[in-house]
Amino acid sequence: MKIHIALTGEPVFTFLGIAFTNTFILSIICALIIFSFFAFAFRKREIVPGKMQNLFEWILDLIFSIFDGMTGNRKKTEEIFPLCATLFIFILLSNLIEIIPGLGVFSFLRSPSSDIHFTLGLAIFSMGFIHYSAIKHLGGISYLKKYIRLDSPIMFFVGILEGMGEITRTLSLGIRLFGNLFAGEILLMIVTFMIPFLVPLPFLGLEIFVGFIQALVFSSLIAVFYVVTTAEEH
Amino acid sequence: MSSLEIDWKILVGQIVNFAILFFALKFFVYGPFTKLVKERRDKIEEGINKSLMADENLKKIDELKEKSIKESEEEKKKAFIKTEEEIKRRKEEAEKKAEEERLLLLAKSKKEAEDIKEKEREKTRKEVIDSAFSLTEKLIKENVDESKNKKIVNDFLNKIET
Repeated sequence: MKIHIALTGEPVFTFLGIAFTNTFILSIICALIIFSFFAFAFRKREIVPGKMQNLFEWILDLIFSIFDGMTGNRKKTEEIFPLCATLFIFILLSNLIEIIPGLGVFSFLRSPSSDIHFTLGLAIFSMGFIHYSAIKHLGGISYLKKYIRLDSPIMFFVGILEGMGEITRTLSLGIRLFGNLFAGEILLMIVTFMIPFLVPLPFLGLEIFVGFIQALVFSSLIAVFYVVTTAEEH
Repeated sequence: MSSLEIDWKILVGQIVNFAILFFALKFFVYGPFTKLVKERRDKIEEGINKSLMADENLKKIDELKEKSIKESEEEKKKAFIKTEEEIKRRKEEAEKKAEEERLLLLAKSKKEAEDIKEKEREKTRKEVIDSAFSLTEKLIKENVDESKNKKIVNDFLNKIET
């Protein structure tokens, strides 16, 4: 048996000129699952919550507390919480879906987060959202002043470096997540291929842990970048 | 990017997929959730405030109750003392009145007894006179000897004694 390793997913079908890969389809399914669960949990919003609502409120409240501790500013947490919570839940589910039997073994099923399109897409959207919020907070001129500094040639160069830093930050965010999860995926694939019985279990446990940590790292970094980018310069 | 095998269409598709999930969750979940939590927090705060107010009111009511009980105790005590005094006064009055009545009755009885005594004395005196007259008449009418005379006088004296 030959192991096929690719950086991107395998195309399953093409629609309107877009190749729907296995990872892309799974990411859509993950999005649907998340939305369905939350929509179901919050279908009847009551002051005194039911069991389901209580569970989901507890999850959101826990995530909120984590990010509130990171930003150290309640108002900023409230602003970035929807993005960070969505990222955390979405990445976590994408990572954990890997442990479903069959995923990573069959070529038509692969964890979405092991595809660079997925991780890079999240990074681009998140950084775009952060910059949009920064412009809204600081105003266009103040925002541009962070990157275009005309007070001295050195500061002008520093501004350009800051701008480039934003691009590299976005790329590094996406590639870091991809690297970690792709490595895990490959590791699982190889271990399962070599010794399929019992041996992959510790690796699966490790993957669950890594998946959780990476989801937390990604969303935490977004929260920190948000605080840094929207901060006014003194 | 070509070495990373990036397909821009899929990349855009992934961004759109996440954007849809993000905005859908923001609109249908996080917004209502934040609102709900805020509402609940407000309600809890309101409840706590109400509870504090209720505690304060209860404290006030307890104070009022204590005050009222104290006042009522004092009033009761006062009323009791007043009643006792009234009873004492009335008792004294009644005793005084009874004493007065007794004295009055005694004086009246004394007077009545005196009157009766006087009447009896007058009656006796009259009877004695009448008897003396009748005896004299008898002695005069009948010429009696000394022993007969003695007997008449003794009869007369016996009659008076009875």
